Amino acid sequence: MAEQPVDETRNLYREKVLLRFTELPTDPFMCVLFETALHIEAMEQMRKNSEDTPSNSKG
Amino acid sequence: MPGVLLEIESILKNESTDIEKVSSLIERDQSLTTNLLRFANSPYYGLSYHVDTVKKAVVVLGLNSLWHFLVRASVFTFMSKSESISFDAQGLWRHSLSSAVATKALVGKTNQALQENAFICGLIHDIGKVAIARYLPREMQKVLERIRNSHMATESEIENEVLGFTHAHVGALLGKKWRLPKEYVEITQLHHAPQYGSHAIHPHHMLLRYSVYAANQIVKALSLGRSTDEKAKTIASDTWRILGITKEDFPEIIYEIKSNFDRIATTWS
Repeated sequence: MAEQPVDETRNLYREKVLLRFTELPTDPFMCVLFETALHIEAMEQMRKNSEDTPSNSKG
Repeated sequence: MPGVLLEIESILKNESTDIEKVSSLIERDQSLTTNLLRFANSPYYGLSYHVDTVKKAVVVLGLNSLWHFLVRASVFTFMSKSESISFDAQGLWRHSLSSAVATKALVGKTNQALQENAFICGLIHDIGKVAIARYLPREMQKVLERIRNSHMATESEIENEVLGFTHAHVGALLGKKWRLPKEYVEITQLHHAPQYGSHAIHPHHMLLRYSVYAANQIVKALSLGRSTDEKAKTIASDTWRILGITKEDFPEIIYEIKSNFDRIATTWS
């Protein structure tokens, strides 16, 4: 159950990145491009989220 | 292209290039002078001393790099003057810049000596769109609306229907007018359909042609910048053999494109 939000977030990114393609990637190189773009998107979002979260140390 | 650049280009073609003359021509243009000094002093050259005159900058860069710098500066000026037109000019500029970075990375896998040429070819591939938007803004608006509402037709098909020509044709005409090398002109013309050009060409030219084509799609998939036609199409499978890139190499190249673009975008925007 605890993994559900992670899966939901991953699906959200998957849909977002998929929208950048004219068709579902099936060609091997396009699949690599899609998976790498997805990873980059997830990393970017994590970075943005951590920047948006106020630092606890300033408490 | 500004007159001063055409004059410099003519001088650079001579075998006995007069550095004094080239320097004094550049000094006539204040913005070009500032940018050249900034570029010569950038970490790219990693010099231990400060370049404080145009003449020193010309010597540091060398004539070949100077010519590439001038083309880059011209494209930047041409594209950055597009603020008033009816599309996301800043987005297209970022798309052009990311395509330049991606073309350079793809070429670098097999031929590092071609990377400077690759950067320029990627940077100029969509200049035709800027020209159309500037001189035919209403027609451009119509093209953009049709792209947004169409799920089947390609951007080039819509342009042909509305305008009777494509941005690739206009870009090639502009490249000729700017006296760019004929390889660059052909690459601009074929950036959506590299397979239609002659295959009896120098391998370097072929490498550049297919790199621009692939780079254009890769940066759309990474959402680096914003082209008028935003979605990435499937890259023809022949491309990877021509570029000498395997599926195993590919992720590293994609990460390199992303990080190099993030680094360069802050200084070029």
